[in-house]
Amino acid sequence: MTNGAGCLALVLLWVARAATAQARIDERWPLDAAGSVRIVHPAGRVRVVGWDVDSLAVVGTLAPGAGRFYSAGDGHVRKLGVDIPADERIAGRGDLVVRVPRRTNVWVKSATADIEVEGVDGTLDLTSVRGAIHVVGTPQDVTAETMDGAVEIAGGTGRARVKTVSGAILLRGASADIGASTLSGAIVVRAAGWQRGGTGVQRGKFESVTGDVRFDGELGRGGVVEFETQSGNIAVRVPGRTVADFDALTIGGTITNTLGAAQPTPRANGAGQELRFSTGAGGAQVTVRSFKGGILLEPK
Amino acid sequence: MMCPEMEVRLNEYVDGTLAARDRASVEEHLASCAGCRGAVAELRSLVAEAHGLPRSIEPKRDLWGDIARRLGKRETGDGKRWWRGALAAAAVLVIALGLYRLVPPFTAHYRPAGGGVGWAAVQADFDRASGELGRALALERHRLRPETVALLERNLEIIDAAIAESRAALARDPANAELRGLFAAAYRHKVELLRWAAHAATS
Amino acid sequence: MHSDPTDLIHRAQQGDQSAFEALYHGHVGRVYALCLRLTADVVQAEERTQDAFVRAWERLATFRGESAFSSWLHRLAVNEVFRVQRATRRRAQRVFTSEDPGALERADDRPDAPGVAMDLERAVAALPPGAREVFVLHDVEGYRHEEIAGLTGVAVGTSKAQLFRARRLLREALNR
Repeated sequence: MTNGAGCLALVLLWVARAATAQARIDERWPLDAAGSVRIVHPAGRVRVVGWDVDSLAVVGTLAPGAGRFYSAGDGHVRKLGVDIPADERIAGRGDLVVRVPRRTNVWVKSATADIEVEGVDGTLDLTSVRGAIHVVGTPQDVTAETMDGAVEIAGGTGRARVKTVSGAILLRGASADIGASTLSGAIVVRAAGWQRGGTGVQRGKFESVTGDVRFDGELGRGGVVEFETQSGNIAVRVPGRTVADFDALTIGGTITNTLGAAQPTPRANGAGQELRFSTGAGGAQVTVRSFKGGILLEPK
Repeated sequence: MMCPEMEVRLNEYVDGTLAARDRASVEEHLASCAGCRGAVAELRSLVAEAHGLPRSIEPKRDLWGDIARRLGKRETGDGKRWWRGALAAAAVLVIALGLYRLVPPFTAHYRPAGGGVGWAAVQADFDRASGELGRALALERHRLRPETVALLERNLEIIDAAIAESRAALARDPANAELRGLFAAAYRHKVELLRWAAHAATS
Repeated sequence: MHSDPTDLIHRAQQGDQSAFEALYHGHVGRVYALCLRLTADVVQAEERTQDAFVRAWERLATFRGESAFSSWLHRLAVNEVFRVQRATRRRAQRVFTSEDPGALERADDRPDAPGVAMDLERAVAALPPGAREVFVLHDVEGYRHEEIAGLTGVAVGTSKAQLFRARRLLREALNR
């Protein structure tokens, strides 16, 4: 029967296409204005975007072999993600866009997938092994950790904690309380503090082993900021009228100061240079330490 | 007495976990609210008392007999589970050692109290923790992707070199508090790296 | 008996049970105090204390270094308390039955103001379980909320809420 053969051919064609076709995801559930979302997405990209609707919507595509999409939860807490079989070391790519109410608390974990979050004001907890992490907006609290990916946080947060091994860290915008730690990545902090009511950075700790650290921003009165590297160079650029106590020390490097007249002196006991000076009372406290790196203090 | 809407913030204030601008607004409120001031005093007193409770209470009866009986029946677990436990245990060990508290962020105002014996113990503990983690990692490496292993090894080399330099400098100038702080920081980075590795291997 | 603690641990790790028994005697007070305060039940506290030492014996090979042994053991004990709590739903007996008011009186240190300490212990024992556990772990034992969240499975926010509630209930009880 030609009809039957034709149908069979069509069915076979359809089956063949389905086997290599991408899986499409398009789901939506109600979610409270300040609920929580937990996303596990191994490979590809996941974007989380805040919106003004009390529901969670996810759209995306999964390449063949990328695994199975799953979701569970209720109006307060929802978890979703892509499950790869335990013995699959390499997952196919998946691309997800998840829209959530703005005040949602978002937790994302990925292996190589890049994580992007935009316009979410809740608490963010983002972890990856090799993926990049990119946050834009004003989340209240951000924790971002990745081994090899770059991390960029742009906007303003109440508190930010970023950790990488070799990924570069870029913090743009304003946060009152920042911690950034890397082994061999570089840390760049720009224009910190001025957007959020102009309080300046209140608490900052920036540490690396070999990565350079560059701070270019404002310090809040009473702020406590610490820089520490093993061999990375440290550059601190603050407005010339900043009121602060500066305490810098390097054991193998040199200190250059153009923030004022004070000049570094050789250390009392041993090699290296130190520099302690104050530009006024009741200001910020800036401590800079390096084992081998150079230290530069300069005005904006 | 206490303004009910202030309960959370007053507790956080007493615990020192408020962001600076919230702290300022709480202090402003306290300046004009006796009820909340009283509550803060009570909270502080309560927390202090709790900290001061006896650390140790002897059980009414000796429990050793029952324990000894149960010990006789135990066997060790299978190898792979043990190593994962070792990784987790070693990571926990580092936290439990209170290393971060023992060597707090360096500031000009920090003067370690009688560094000698305590400091040697800290170094020894660091060595043990990272040795433990390193050994466990060596066993679990096959679970990691080659690029990740390469990344870890490259960074391990970097941090080991930094630690060696720090250690040599400290050997020449052992009483130097700044050097100790930098050495401890280098070690923290190493342990952090190994914990990352453990996390990557077991997730 | 006066033994170098490091040596005891090392010997216990080689399988020497008498060395482990000496470790038991040196640390049981601490473990029991923790279990008693967390469970507010003498029988459960005794059982969890035993569980903790048995688990410690099993895991001893993974331990390195004397200075952290008490902390390591401490964490094991906390885990045992919550492991059982998760697995069963037994109601806890009140520790302060009329037969045994002395259980919390035999304290090692802090002889000053014993009356005050006892009031606090009683009040803590009378707290509802969730609040009591967080209060004991945070304010008595010094764990942070993140650690408590990891140990008990509640969210950090819940841990804080339980702590603040515990403190409020305790203030009310002690002010009466």
